[in-house]
Amino acid sequence: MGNVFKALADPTRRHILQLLKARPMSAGEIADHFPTSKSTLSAHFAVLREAGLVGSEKSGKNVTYWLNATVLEEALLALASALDLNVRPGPAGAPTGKPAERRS
Amino acid sequence: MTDTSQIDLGLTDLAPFFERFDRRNRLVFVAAISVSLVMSAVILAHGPPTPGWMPAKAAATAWWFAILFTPVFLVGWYVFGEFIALGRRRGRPPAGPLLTGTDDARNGVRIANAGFAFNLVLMATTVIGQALWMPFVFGYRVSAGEWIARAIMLAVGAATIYLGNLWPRTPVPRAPERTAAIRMKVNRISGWMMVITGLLAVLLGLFLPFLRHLF
Repeated sequence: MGNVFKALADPTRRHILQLLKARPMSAGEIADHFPTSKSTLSAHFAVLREAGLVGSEKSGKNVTYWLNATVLEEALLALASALDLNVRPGPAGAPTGKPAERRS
Repeated sequence: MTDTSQIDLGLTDLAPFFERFDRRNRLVFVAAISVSLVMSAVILAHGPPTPGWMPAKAAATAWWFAILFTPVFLVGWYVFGEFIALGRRRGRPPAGPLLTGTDDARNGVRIANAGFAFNLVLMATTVIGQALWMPFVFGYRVSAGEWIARAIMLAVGAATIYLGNLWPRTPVPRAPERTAAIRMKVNRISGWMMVITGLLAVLLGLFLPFLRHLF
Protein backbone atom coordinates (compact mmCIF):
# COMPACT_ATOMS: atom_id res chain seq x y z
CA MET A 1 0.00 0.00 0.00
CA GLY A 2 3.00 2.30 0.59
CA ASN A 3 3.74 2.18 -3.14
CA VAL A 4 0.19 3.32 -3.89
CA PHE A 5 0.46 6.32 -1.55
CA LYS A 6 3.85 7.18 -3.03
CA ALA A 7 2.39 6.99 -6.55
CA LEU A 8 -0.65 9.10 -5.67
CA ALA A 9 1.41 11.77 -3.91
CA ASP A 10 2.59 13.25 -7.19
CA PRO A 11 0.25 15.47 -9.27
CA THR A 12 1.77 14.36 -12.60
CA ARG A 13 1.11 10.73 -11.80
CA ARG A 14 -2.42 11.57 -10.68
CA HIS A 15 -2.93 13.41 -13.97
CA ILE A 16 -1.75 10.33 -15.87
CA LEU A 17 -4.25 8.20 -13.95
CA GLN A 18 -7.06 10.69 -14.66
CA LEU A 19 -6.22 10.50 -18.38
CA LEU A 20 -6.28 6.70 -18.29
CA LYS A 21 -9.71 6.75 -16.66
CA ALA A 22 -11.16 7.75 -20.02
CA ARG A 23 -9.49 5.04 -22.11
CA PRO A 24 -6.28 3.04 -22.54
CA MET A 25 -3.59 5.24 -24.12
CA SER A 26 -0.20 4.77 -25.68
CA ALA A 27 2.85 6.23 -23.96
CA GLY A 28 3.14 8.79 -26.76
CA GLU A 29 -0.46 9.95 -26.36
CA ILE A 30 0.06 10.43 -22.65
CA ALA A 31 3.34 12.27 -23.25
CA ASP A 32 1.50 14.79 -25.46
CA HIS A 33 -0.32 16.06 -22.36
CA PHE A 34 2.87 16.90 -20.45
CA PRO A 35 5.72 19.32 -21.03
CA THR A 36 8.15 17.07 -19.12
CA SER A 37 10.87 14.99 -20.74
CA LYS A 38 10.26 11.43 -21.83
CA SER A 39 12.70 10.04 -19.30
CA THR A 40 10.85 11.81 -16.48
CA LEU A 41 7.57 10.37 -17.71
CA SER A 42 9.13 6.92 -17.95
CA ALA A 43 10.09 7.22 -14.30
CA HIS A 44 6.50 8.13 -13.46
CA PHE A 45 5.24 5.11 -15.42
CA ALA A 46 7.66 2.91 -13.50
CA VAL A 47 6.31 4.17 -10.15
CA LEU A 48 2.71 3.68 -11.30
CA ARG A 49 3.46 0.18 -12.54
CA GLU A 50 5.26 -0.73 -9.32
CA ALA A 51 2.18 0.38 -7.38
CA GLY A 52 -0.02 -1.72 -9.69
CA LEU A 53 -2.10 1.33 -10.62
CA VAL A 54 -1.51 0.94 -14.35
CA GLY A 55 -1.22 -2.09 -16.58
CA SER A 56 0.71 -2.12 -19.82
CA GLU A 57 0.98 -4.08 -23.01
CA LYS A 58 3.46 -3.79 -25.84
CA SER A 59 2.21 -4.08 -29.39
CA GLY A 60 4.83 -3.40 -32.04
CA LYS A 61 6.69 -0.24 -31.08
CA ASN A 62 3.87 1.09 -28.94
CA VAL A 63 3.24 0.51 -25.29
CA THR A 64 -0.39 0.83 -24.27
CA TYR A 65 -1.21 1.75 -20.68
CA TRP A 66 -4.53 1.31 -18.94
CA LEU A 67 -5.90 2.13 -15.52
CA ASN A 68 -5.48 -0.86 -13.24
CA ALA A 69 -6.74 0.67 -10.00
CA THR A 70 -9.08 -1.08 -7.58
CA VAL A 71 -12.14 0.74 -6.23
CA LEU A 72 -10.25 1.63 -3.05
CA GLU A 73 -7.30 2.96 -5.03
CA GLU A 74 -9.64 4.99 -7.23
CA ALA A 75 -11.26 6.45 -4.12
CA LEU A 76 -7.78 7.33 -2.80
CA LEU A 77 -6.97 8.94 -6.16
CA ALA A 78 -10.14 11.04 -5.95
CA LEU A 79 -9.30 12.02 -2.38
CA ALA A 80 -5.69 12.91 -3.22
CA SER A 81 -6.87 14.95 -6.21
CA ALA A 82 -9.51 16.74 -4.15
CA LEU A 83 -6.96 17.61 -1.48
CA ASP A 84 -4.44 18.41 -4.20
CA LEU A 85 -1.74 16.48 -2.35
CA ASN A 86 1.79 17.15 -3.50
CA VAL A 87 4.75 15.60 -1.77
CA ARG A 88 8.16 17.01 -2.67
CA PRO A 89 10.84 14.42 -3.46
CA GLY A 90 13.87 14.48 -1.17
CA PRO A 91 17.47 14.63 -2.39
CA ALA A 92 17.52 10.91 -3.20
CA GLY A 93 14.23 11.12 -5.04
CA ALA A 94 12.25 9.75 -2.13
CA PRO A 95 9.22 11.70 -0.91
CA THR A 96 9.88 13.64 2.30
CA GLY A 97 6.29 13.85 3.42
CA LYS A 98 6.37 17.67 3.43
CA PRO A 99 3.43 19.12 1.55
CA ALA A 100 4.26 21.52 -1.25
CA GLU A 101 2.40 24.75 -1.86
CA ARG A 102 -1.10 24.21 -3.09
CA ARG A 103 -1.72 25.06 -6.69
CA SER A 104 -4.21 27.88 -7.17
CA MET B 1 7.72 7.10 -27.08
CA THR B 2 8.16 3.61 -25.68
CA ASP B 3 8.93 2.51 -22.21
CA THR B 4 9.79 -1.16 -22.22
CA SER B 5 12.12 -1.20 -19.22
CA GLN B 6 9.57 -2.78 -16.89
CA ILE B 7 7.32 -4.54 -19.35
CA ASP B 8 7.25 -8.30 -19.48
CA LEU B 9 6.36 -9.35 -23.01
CA GLY B 10 5.73 -13.02 -22.14
CA LEU B 11 2.30 -14.56 -22.47
CA THR B 12 0.72 -16.73 -19.80
CA ASP B 13 -1.63 -19.62 -20.52
CA LEU B 14 -4.50 -19.37 -18.05
CA ALA B 15 -6.39 -22.40 -19.43
CA PRO B 16 -5.06 -24.88 -16.78
CA PHE B 17 -5.85 -22.42 -13.98
CA PHE B 18 -9.42 -21.93 -15.16
CA GLU B 19 -9.92 -25.68 -15.60
CA ARG B 20 -9.05 -26.14 -11.92
CA PHE B 21 -11.15 -23.09 -11.05
CA ASP B 22 -14.24 -24.51 -12.81
CA ARG B 23 -13.69 -27.90 -11.17
CA ARG B 24 -13.50 -26.31 -7.69
CA ASN B 25 -16.68 -24.32 -8.33
CA ARG B 26 -18.53 -27.45 -9.47
CA LEU B 27 -17.40 -29.31 -6.33
CA VAL B 28 -18.67 -26.50 -4.10
CA PHE B 29 -21.98 -26.48 -5.97
CA VAL B 30 -22.42 -30.27 -5.72
CA ALA B 31 -21.68 -30.16 -1.98
CA ALA B 32 -24.05 -27.23 -1.38
CA ILE B 33 -26.93 -28.59 -3.47
CA SER B 34 -26.60 -32.05 -1.87
CA VAL B 35 -26.87 -30.66 1.67
CA SER B 36 -29.70 -28.35 0.59
CA LEU B 37 -31.71 -31.13 -1.05
CA VAL B 38 -31.37 -33.33 2.04
CA MET B 39 -32.69 -30.47 4.20
CA SER B 40 -35.52 -29.81 1.72
CA ALA B 41 -36.48 -33.50 1.88
CA VAL B 42 -36.51 -33.44 5.69
CA ILE B 43 -38.65 -30.27 5.76
CA LEU B 44 -41.01 -31.70 3.13
CA ALA B 45 -41.36 -34.99 5.01
CA HIS B 46 -42.12 -33.19 8.25
CA GLY B 47 -45.03 -31.23 6.80
CA PRO B 48 -46.03 -27.61 7.45
CA PRO B 49 -45.28 -26.33 10.96
CA THR B 50 -48.03 -25.10 13.25
CA PRO B 51 -46.29 -22.80 15.69
CA GLY B 52 -48.58 -20.79 17.88
CA TRP B 53 -46.80 -17.52 17.21
CA MET B 54 -47.46 -17.54 13.45
CA PRO B 55 -50.75 -17.84 11.50
CA ALA B 56 -51.16 -21.21 9.74
CA LYS B 57 -51.21 -19.67 6.24
CA ALA B 58 -47.99 -17.74 6.87
CA ALA B 59 -46.41 -20.86 8.34
CA ALA B 60 -47.32 -22.87 5.22
CA THR B 61 -45.85 -20.15 2.96
CA ALA B 62 -42.66 -20.10 5.03
CA TRP B 63 -42.54 -23.90 4.80
CA TRP B 64 -42.63 -23.85 1.00
CA PHE B 65 -40.05 -21.08 1.00
CA ALA B 66 -37.81 -23.20 3.25
CA ILE B 67 -38.10 -26.15 0.85
CA LEU B 68 -37.68 -24.36 -2.47
CA PHE B 69 -35.70 -21.15 -2.10
CA THR B 70 -32.22 -22.52 -1.37
CA PRO B 71 -32.08 -25.27 -4.05
CA VAL B 72 -33.57 -22.95 -6.70
CA PHE B 73 -31.18 -20.14 -5.76
CA LEU B 74 -28.16 -22.49 -5.79
CA VAL B 75 -29.07 -23.89 -9.23
CA GLY B 76 -29.69 -20.37 -10.59
CA TRP B 77 -26.39 -19.12 -9.22
CA TYR B 78 -24.54 -22.13 -10.65
CA VAL B 79 -26.12 -21.62 -14.10
CA PHE B 80 -25.12 -17.94 -13.96
CA GLY B 81 -21.53 -19.00 -13.18
CA GLU B 82 -21.57 -21.46 -16.08
CA PHE B 83 -22.67 -18.67 -18.43
CA ILE B 84 -19.69 -16.60 -17.33
CA ALA B 85 -17.43 -19.62 -17.89
CA LEU B 86 -18.95 -20.10 -21.37
CA GLY B 87 -18.13 -16.49 -22.23
CA ARG B 88 -14.54 -17.13 -21.20
CA ARG B 89 -14.31 -20.28 -23.35
CA ARG B 90 -15.93 -18.67 -26.39
CA GLY B 91 -13.67 -18.10 -29.38
CA ARG B 92 -11.06 -20.70 -28.53
CA PRO B 93 -10.87 -24.47 -29.07
CA PRO B 94 -12.07 -26.61 -26.11
CA ALA B 95 -8.57 -27.73 -25.10
CA GLY B 96 -6.80 -24.68 -26.50
CA PRO B 97 -4.66 -22.23 -24.56
CA LEU B 98 -6.00 -19.02 -23.00
CA LEU B 99 -3.08 -16.70 -23.63
CA THR B 100 -2.91 -13.35 -21.86
CA GLY B 101 -0.30 -10.72 -21.07
CA THR B 102 1.39 -10.78 -17.68
CA ASP B 103 -0.73 -7.98 -16.16
CA ASP B 104 -3.99 -9.47 -17.43
CA ALA B 105 -2.97 -12.93 -16.20
CA ARG B 106 -2.23 -11.62 -12.70
CA ASN B 107 -5.52 -9.72 -12.60
CA GLY B 108 -7.48 -12.63 -14.04
CA VAL B 109 -6.18 -15.04 -11.39
CA ARG B 110 -6.79 -12.60 -8.52
CA ILE B 111 -10.34 -11.80 -9.61
CA ALA B 112 -11.13 -15.48 -10.22
CA ASN B 113 -9.90 -16.34 -6.70
CA ALA B 114 -11.96 -13.50 -5.24
CA GLY B 115 -14.93 -14.80 -7.26
CA PHE B 116 -14.38 -18.29 -5.86
CA ALA B 117 -14.27 -16.91 -2.31
CA PHE B 118 -17.49 -14.98 -3.01
CA ASN B 119 -19.09 -18.10 -4.46
CA LEU B 120 -18.06 -20.15 -1.44
CA VAL B 121 -19.40 -17.59 1.04
CA LEU B 122 -22.67 -17.16 -0.86
CA MET B 123 -23.34 -20.90 -1.15
CA ALA B 124 -22.33 -21.60 2.45
CA THR B 125 -24.46 -18.78 3.86
CA THR B 126 -27.44 -19.83 1.71
CA VAL B 127 -27.20 -23.38 3.06
CA ILE B 128 -26.78 -22.07 6.63
CA GLY B 129 -29.84 -19.88 6.01
CA GLN B 130 -31.84 -22.95 5.04
CA ALA B 131 -30.55 -24.80 8.10
CA LEU B 132 -31.99 -21.97 10.21
CA TRP B 133 -35.46 -22.94 8.97
CA MET B 134 -35.14 -26.47 10.36
CA PRO B 135 -35.83 -25.60 14.03
CA PHE B 136 -38.70 -23.39 12.85
CA VAL B 137 -40.26 -26.32 11.01
CA PHE B 138 -39.98 -28.45 14.13
CA GLY B 139 -41.65 -25.73 16.17
CA TYR B 140 -38.61 -24.17 17.88
CA ARG B 141 -37.20 -20.66 17.81
CA VAL B 142 -33.43 -20.26 17.51
CA SER B 143 -32.22 -17.95 20.25
CA ALA B 144 -29.01 -17.18 18.32
CA GLY B 145 -30.93 -16.70 15.06
CA GLU B 146 -30.52 -12.91 15.07
CA TRP B 147 -26.74 -13.19 15.40
CA ILE B 148 -26.50 -15.89 12.74
CA ALA B 149 -28.52 -13.70 10.36
CA ARG B 150 -26.25 -10.73 11.14
CA ALA B 151 -23.14 -12.89 10.64
CA ILE B 152 -24.49 -14.03 7.24
CA MET B 153 -25.05 -10.43 6.15
CA LEU B 154 -21.58 -9.43 7.33
CA ALA B 155 -19.95 -12.37 5.52
CA VAL B 156 -21.81 -11.74 2.25
CA GLY B 157 -21.13 -8.00 2.54
CA ALA B 158 -17.41 -8.51 3.16
CA ALA B 159 -17.11 -10.97 0.24
CA THR B 160 -18.97 -8.52 -2.03
CA ILE B 161 -16.66 -5.67 -1.03
CA TYR B 162 -13.59 -7.84 -1.62
CA LEU B 163 -14.73 -8.93 -5.09
CA GLY B 164 -16.10 -5.50 -6.05
CA ASN B 165 -12.87 -3.79 -5.06
CA LEU B 166 -10.93 -5.93 -7.55
CA TRP B 167 -13.63 -5.92 -10.25
CA PRO B 168 -12.36 -2.85 -12.19
CA ARG B 169 -9.19 -4.83 -12.93
CA THR B 170 -11.12 -7.44 -14.94
CA PRO B 171 -9.14 -7.96 -18.17
CA VAL B 172 -10.86 -6.73 -21.33
CA PRO B 173 -9.75 -7.10 -24.97
CA ARG B 174 -7.75 -3.95 -25.82
CA ALA B 175 -9.19 -3.66 -29.33
CA PRO B 176 -11.21 -2.04 -30.71
CA GLU B 177 -10.20 0.91 -28.57
CA ARG B 178 -13.68 2.40 -28.11
CA THR B 179 -15.16 -0.93 -27.01
CA ALA B 180 -12.27 -1.44 -24.60
CA ALA B 181 -12.89 1.99 -23.06
CA ILE B 182 -16.60 1.26 -22.60
CA ARG B 183 -15.96 -2.17 -21.10
CA MET B 184 -13.42 -0.75 -18.66
CA LYS B 185 -15.91 1.94 -17.61
CA VAL B 186 -18.63 -0.68 -17.13
CA ASN B 187 -16.25 -2.74 -14.98
CA ARG B 188 -15.34 0.33 -12.91
CA ILE B 189 -18.99 1.25 -12.31
CA SER B 190 -19.84 -2.40 -11.53
CA GLY B 191 -16.99 -2.52 -9.01
CA TRP B 192 -18.20 0.65 -7.29
CA MET B 193 -21.77 -0.69 -7.17
CA MET B 194 -20.59 -3.98 -5.67
CA VAL B 195 -18.51 -2.21 -3.02
CA ILE B 196 -21.42 0.10 -2.11
CA THR B 197 -23.82 -2.87 -1.98
CA GLY B 198 -21.36 -4.78 0.21
CA LEU B 199 -20.99 -1.81 2.55
CA LEU B 200 -24.78 -1.54 2.80
CA ALA B 201 -25.01 -5.26 3.62
CA VAL B 202 -22.38 -4.85 6.33
CA LEU B 203 -24.14 -1.79 7.79
CA LEU B 204 -27.52 -3.53 7.69
CA GLY B 205 -26.01 -6.62 9.30
CA LEU B 206 -24.64 -4.47 12.09
CA PHE B 207 -27.53 -2.11 12.69
CA LEU B 208 -30.78 -3.50 11.21
CA PRO B 209 -33.21 -3.37 14.14
CA PHE B 210 -36.01 -5.65 12.92
CA LEU B 211 -33.82 -8.78 12.87
CA ARG B 212 -34.24 -8.74 16.65
CA HIS B 213 -37.98 -9.26 16.29
CA LEU B 214 -37.74 -11.98 13.63
CA PHE B 215 -35.90 -14.51 15.76
